[in-house]
Amino acid sequence: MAATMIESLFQRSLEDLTKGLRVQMIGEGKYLSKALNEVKKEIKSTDPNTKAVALQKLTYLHMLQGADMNWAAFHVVEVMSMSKFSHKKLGYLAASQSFNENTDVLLLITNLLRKDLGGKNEYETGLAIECLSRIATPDLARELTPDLFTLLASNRPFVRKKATVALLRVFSQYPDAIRVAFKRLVEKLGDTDPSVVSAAVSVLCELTLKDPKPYLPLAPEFYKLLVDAPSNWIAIKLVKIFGALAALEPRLGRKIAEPLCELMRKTGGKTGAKSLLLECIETVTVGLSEHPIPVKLCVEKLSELMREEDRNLKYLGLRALANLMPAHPWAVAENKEMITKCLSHEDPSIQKGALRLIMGMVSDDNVMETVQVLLQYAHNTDSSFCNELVSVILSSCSKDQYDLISDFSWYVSVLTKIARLPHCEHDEEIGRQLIDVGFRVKSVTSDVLRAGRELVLDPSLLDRPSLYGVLSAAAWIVGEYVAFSHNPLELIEGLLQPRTKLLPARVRAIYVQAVFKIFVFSASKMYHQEPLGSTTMQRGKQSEGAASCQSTEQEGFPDNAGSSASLSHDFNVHGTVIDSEEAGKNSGEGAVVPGSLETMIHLIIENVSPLVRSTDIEVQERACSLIGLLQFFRNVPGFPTLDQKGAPQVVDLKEMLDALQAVFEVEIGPVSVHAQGRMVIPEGLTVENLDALGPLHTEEVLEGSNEREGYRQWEAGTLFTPQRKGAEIAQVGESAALLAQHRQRHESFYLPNDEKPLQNSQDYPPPRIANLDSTSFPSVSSSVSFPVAEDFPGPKMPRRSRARPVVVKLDDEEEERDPSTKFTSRDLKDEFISSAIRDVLAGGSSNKYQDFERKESSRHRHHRTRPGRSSRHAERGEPSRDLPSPRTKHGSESGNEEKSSNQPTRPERIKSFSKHGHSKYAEKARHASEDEQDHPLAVKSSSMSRGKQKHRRRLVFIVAARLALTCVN
Amino acid sequence: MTIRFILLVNRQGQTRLAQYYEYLSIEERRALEGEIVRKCLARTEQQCSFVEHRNYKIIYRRYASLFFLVGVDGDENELAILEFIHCVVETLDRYFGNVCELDIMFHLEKAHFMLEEMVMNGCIVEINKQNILTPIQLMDKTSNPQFKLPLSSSAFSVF
Repeated sequence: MAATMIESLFQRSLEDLTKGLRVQMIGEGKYLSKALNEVKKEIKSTDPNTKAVALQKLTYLHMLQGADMNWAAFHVVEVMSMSKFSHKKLGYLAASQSFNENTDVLLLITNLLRKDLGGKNEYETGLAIECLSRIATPDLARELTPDLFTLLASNRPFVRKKATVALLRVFSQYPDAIRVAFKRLVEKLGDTDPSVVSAAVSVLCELTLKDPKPYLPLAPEFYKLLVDAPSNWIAIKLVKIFGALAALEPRLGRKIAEPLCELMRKTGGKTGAKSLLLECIETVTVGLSEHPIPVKLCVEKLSELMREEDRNLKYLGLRALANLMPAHPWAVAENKEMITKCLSHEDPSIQKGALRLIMGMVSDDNVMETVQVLLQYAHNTDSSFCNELVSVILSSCSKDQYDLISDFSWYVSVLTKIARLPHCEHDEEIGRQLIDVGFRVKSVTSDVLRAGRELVLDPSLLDRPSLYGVLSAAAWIVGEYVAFSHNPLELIEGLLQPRTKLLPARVRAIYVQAVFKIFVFSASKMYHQEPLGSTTMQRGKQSEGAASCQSTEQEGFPDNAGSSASLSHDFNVHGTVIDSEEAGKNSGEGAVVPGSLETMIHLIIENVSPLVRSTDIEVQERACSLIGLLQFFRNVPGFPTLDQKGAPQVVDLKEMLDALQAVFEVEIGPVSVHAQGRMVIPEGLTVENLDALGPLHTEEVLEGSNEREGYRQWEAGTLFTPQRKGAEIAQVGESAALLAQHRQRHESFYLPNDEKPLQNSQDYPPPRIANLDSTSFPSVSSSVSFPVAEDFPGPKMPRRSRARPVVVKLDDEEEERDPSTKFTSRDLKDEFISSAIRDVLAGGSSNKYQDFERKESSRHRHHRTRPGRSSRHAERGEPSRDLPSPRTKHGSESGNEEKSSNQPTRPERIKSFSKHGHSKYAEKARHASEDEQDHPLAVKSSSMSRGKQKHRRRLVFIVAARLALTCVN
Repeated sequence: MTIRFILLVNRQGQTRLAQYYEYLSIEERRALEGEIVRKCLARTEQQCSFVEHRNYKIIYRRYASLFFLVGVDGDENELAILEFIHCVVETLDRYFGNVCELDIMFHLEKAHFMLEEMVMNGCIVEINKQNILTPIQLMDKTSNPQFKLPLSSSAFSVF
């Protein structure tokens, strides 16, 4: 006795503990561990006060310092069961802080909670309810639902309020409680005490937001509450509920539009509750976006809010506008100025919100202007927002195969500008887009080359690791499109400048390869008697992906002689390299060429030779082949002059160059993701196991069967075999003519109702999309839905007002982007809550939760804790109907009654088994018997899916049986 | 569940009160608190009071040296939570009389009790200050005679 007195006298209180923490001299960690040791000693004390205070200290050590308190779970229960309220409270606090579903002492507190729930003191009851609402498990909820139900009708508002809120947790843990208590919860909406009403509304709001549908029948009650002018708190919740409901039921929207407007007007002033106003706006944007009056009012209020200097309101206003944007782009356009101002706000989240809106407003009319503005901001901002801006520009401009862009040379210049931004980190993407634009838009290839050239030549860029992605793209571009260059030598100089040593090996390899290509191009151009240069120039003219091979090009050449001549004239003017007919005839001018080629070769040998010893295999390999080729050429007598035209080696050399040039000549175009699937399997190719892939394969084929033919022809170069006549047509008419041709040839692949695709769109300039798959052509131009920015809803403006170069599109690239397959997984339990509520509101009583429980229990059986229930589980979890009747030497497996329906032949066994009465054992025995069975049973079954199902079940059984055995042992 | 947690943190980033409405293990809590506190304390006065972190929305407000941070679900009304924070502060003020960080430190359990009365299982259940304070004042009167009341509430003072 004396000992406990002393203990409690000298015990440090929580206050002492915190004070001590502030003045301690031994270091915080040490002090805390000392305190924890003290607590461990004190908590074992028999004196209730000492114990409770020790627990209190432990709770706060847990809360603030993160001390573990799971070891004290039993002490928590002890303190919870103390009689004094202040002690009990500490116990409950500790419980709600530390208990979770894995705490094993939870099983001990059911009766304790029940006693306290039914206690006389309302505060004790309150404690118990609160604790229940925090830690309820399915078991606790099931046991205590009746008590809670009684409390809902308590005459003390304090208790009613808490019991109402506790329902939320109980419902989610034990959906069957809904059948018992939901009606009473709804009754609480009409309670006399406002705090109870508020609690009920909160609970219903939470439930509604999870799955609004079942709560539609409650709309009248909510409506009544809303028009009764409740407190702001309740109103916010109600408005939120209506937001969820109105999205489902349009008639409801009409009904609540008026009260909502009323609320907005009331709260709109300087003094009104902004939170409620905001909630109304949110609801309107989400649920009532088809109703013009509330939307208009809402936009009015929004611009009022945004005009205030309050940063919070700005943030929320931007978010609301973002919600409105899809349906009402005009709302955003009206506030454009304010939004643009937000780009320079100090808060990054506001900046981001504004940026999202601005990019949402972008259309093909204002894209240039918008991007210019954004680039200005990007120059003057910190690196993270700059990158944000850049990534947004890149992604929205490239969206849907650069749908927004009509001036591609402008876009290419923007890309290079972005690449040079000091903070930019999106080099890979910029590089990808540069190459991509080069592929897809043939008319700007020369611009792309120019961009590549600038990047390659600039020595100051080479030491910026953040540019390597762009530089490798640029190197590839100058290699690939060298035909458009006036000065290949300059390119090679750029590619081999000394500072390229700074580049990492992977980029270096691309540089070397580009040098290789440029060299082969220049050499072959010079050697070729035919004016090869002009034919290569045709590549630029062909606007579609022709698989150009040397022969077809030469056939096509005569038609084009005029244009090629003028081009070669250009070449002469710029001087260094001469290629073309004149070069052949006029050897005087041709003399310049060997000189430049000579320089080129020297340059290459000088700079690439060291790379032969590079440690990177890729660089080494490419350098070796380049040097090897050069050595070979140099050994040819007379190289690199044209003097000995007739000599056999020169002829060999020419052929070789032709071959090499032909390799690089092949046009590279964009490739559809599904291209592989469309390949026809060559005859004579036998692939094993092909049948196993059957379902996958056929699906894809079905999907694209129409495209297949067209694609194959394109592959083979027949579909778009350059029709030289077509090429002469001016750029504008070209694609239209091609389409017409295509249509003529592949009539059968066009949709029948699409009579005149070009004439149909009379008021539009013809959509210039060389769509490789003709079948989807009519839908292409209509599938794009960028909001029109300036002038709002009216009839949609004709989209293309400017001529737009041809963009090669593969139809399936769009379907690939389709995000509609977003998988939404909802908890099975939520489903049951909703269905239970639907039942309650509809007055039905089918017990679906039982089914749920049955399914659950068959999955994991708890034999451990509830032997009484496990027999029920054994019956419920019985999927016997699906089992093929396994007749084994173990008669015990017939112990499941449900099976009797399937096996009428064996009634006596059933009887004999039911005598045992222990279906737990029956189950065990049955599992054991099944354990011995082999899988072939499932395989024998005719339908494959059934077999699979059985197999799975069997596995579950085996696992369950093993579990049961270990539990019994 | 709308409110997921409430944190009171001082300017040095030390937690002064923490209340979670969902179970998180100690490690998770520490990590979460660390990240959030670092994020919020770094913000300037000109930036807005909402921060998105993981799947939480954090709404914070600063009173003198104390930050009140409330973590909520995605669809909670931010301004309402700001008002709620203010209501908490007013309630604490009413009880302690011009509340400061030390009041909360030395009477943690009281502060906690008030919070419990206001929020239950993540739902805001009471915002009437008198209703919130009634039980705690009752407790002060009856239960613990050794308890030293804050000087300001002299009516209940024992000494």
